[in-house]
Amino acid sequence: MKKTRLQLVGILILVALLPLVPTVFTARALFNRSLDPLLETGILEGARAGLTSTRELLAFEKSRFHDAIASDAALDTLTAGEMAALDPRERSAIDAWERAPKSGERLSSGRTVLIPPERFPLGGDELLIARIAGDDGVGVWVTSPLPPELAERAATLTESIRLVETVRRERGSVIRSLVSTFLVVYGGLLVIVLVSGLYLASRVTRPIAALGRGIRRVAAGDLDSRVPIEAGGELATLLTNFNDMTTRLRTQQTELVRLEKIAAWRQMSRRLAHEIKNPLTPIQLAAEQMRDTYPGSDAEHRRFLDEACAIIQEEVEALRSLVAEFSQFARMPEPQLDWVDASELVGEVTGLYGDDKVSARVTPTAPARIRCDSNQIHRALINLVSNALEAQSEIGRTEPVEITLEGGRWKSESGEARALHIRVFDRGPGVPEAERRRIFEPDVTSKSQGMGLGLAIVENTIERHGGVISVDDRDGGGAVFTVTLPVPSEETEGDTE
Amino acid sequence: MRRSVSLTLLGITVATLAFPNPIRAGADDDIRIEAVVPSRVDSILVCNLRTRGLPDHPSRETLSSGLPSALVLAFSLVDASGDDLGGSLTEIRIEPDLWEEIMLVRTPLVDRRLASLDEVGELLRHLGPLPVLPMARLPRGLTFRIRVRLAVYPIAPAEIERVHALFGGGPSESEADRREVSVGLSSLVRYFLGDQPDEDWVADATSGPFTRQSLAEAP
Repeated sequence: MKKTRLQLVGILILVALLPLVPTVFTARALFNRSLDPLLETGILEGARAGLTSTRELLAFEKSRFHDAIASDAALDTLTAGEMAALDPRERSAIDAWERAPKSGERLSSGRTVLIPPERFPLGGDELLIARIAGDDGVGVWVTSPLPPELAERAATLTESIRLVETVRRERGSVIRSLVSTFLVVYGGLLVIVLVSGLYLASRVTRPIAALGRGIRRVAAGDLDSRVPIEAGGELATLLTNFNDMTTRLRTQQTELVRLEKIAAWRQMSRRLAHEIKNPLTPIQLAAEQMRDTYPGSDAEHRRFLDEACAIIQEEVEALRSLVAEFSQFARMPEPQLDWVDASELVGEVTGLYGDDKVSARVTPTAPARIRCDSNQIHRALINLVSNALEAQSEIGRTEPVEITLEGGRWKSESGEARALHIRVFDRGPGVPEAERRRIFEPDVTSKSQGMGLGLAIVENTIERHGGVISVDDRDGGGAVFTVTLPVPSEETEGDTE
Repeated sequence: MRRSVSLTLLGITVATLAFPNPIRAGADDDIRIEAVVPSRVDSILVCNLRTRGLPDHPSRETLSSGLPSALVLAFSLVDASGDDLGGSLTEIRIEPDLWEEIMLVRTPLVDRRLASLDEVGELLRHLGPLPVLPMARLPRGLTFRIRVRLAVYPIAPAEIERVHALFGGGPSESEADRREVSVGLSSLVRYFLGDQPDEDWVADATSGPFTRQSLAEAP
């Protein structure tokens, strides 16, 4: 079964892995495609063109600033205090500028442009800054603010161009990382599939393995083999069916053994009845002849002969009774079915014993008529009542045996029908649970006399009528024998009266 | 079972072929630190460097496309027996100003505006003064050397970090309310994007011996 489990898991992994290669290529293509719009050349060119425009605007602003210087307009100057407050990095940049060669452009206004206007970030603002000298030759830094939106636009475009360029250069590692992420997620799912597969394979193969073991035990003759129902769905049905099957096999085997035993007993009963019955009459006649032909006058001897003859006759009668029992068990003729009044049938039985021995009660639900062989059912009931009375007398109970007639339903393989339950209640010692099935087998009896064929004959009679018999405990002590006879519909069966 | 293992290996092989290892910018053999000259600026031990081969070819290429490059310099003060007494790490960022089409070189102490890559090259040939340590960290009477190591990043680490943040997301507060699965995936993506690589030193050099007293004021 381990091999099957491995095969199942292998198939699951294979199914999970099959899409891997096409999925990876597809994912890579999709990731690449998702980056393409960002790396579109047109976007980069557009950003560069935008930057060119801002550059031209910057040149225009510088030109305007230069014109302002040339026209001797009032200009903002960078005072010594402001210079001192500059960030060292900004200050060093201005110092480096100051050390650079000067242009020395002499303007008509009398000013000299020492350093032409340049863009200069100062204290978070974008400025144009120039170094000029007046007629006195003293140099001074003059400034003009740049429109903030111009600097912002240039910064945004610069950032965009850099981002696109960086993505273009890092594209490989970006795609690799995205696909690697995808593969890790895929791998995680694969692990989940593997674990789930192992679990599912185990869930499937474990019951099958148990079923296999059960089948091997049944094949070896162990019909009590059962498998645990540790699965759901069809597997559970399969296991349940297996258990039902072994239960039925066990029941059928038991029934078969019982029938074989009955058949053997019947065969033996037939032979015994034949072998015993024949010499009984000659024995009895010989004994009577011996008694009647005694010519002497010895009274003692005659008394002895009378006693001996009486004993022989008594034992011959007992043997005849036994032979009759054997004969009845051996013959078991087919029942001659007829419609019989159920109350009347039971009444005949109670009438034989009297009210102090047997009482009968008919419930309203009891069918009025049943279809049976009245002689056989009559004998069966007498047998049950006799057994009940004997059981009671064994423990000194003298109350009447009760018989009840009750209606019910009869379930069989052919469907459901009406039924008559005839129950015989006694207050005897009861029947131990272990004996309740065996009590209907031949040669099983608790009595000192007889061959234990009575209940076997009763069961056989009831079964031949399509019914069943069972024994249970009676509430308050004792036993109750229940005979259930099917009652066919009179319309379908027809009335033979 | 054997077949499924084979398919697994096939998948791994295909994935490997589909995503070959990135080509890493190797060290440029022409990059050199030719001289390390220690001096002092006020109360700071500084050092001037004479280099060769900067910016290297990959850096020139990225600078031409508008991307910033960076140099990282690791300074270590060592005593006569070679023991490390401390040091500093300095980044020099070379940044094209796409608006004005000039080059900015940002060092710890000063920013320089240069007209061309050639001027950048000229500037990088004579680097400094670059801060190493406060003078107070130098015991009197001992002899020291300054060891310098140089790493070159054709694309400045900050730019790569921006791209990583773009695709991998980041742990910034504005993203704190994202769904857990997004954070999980972002973490994974960032993991595979990797952290900034460790410095790949391409050149190193050591100054001549000096004492605290022998240090001249930087020009």
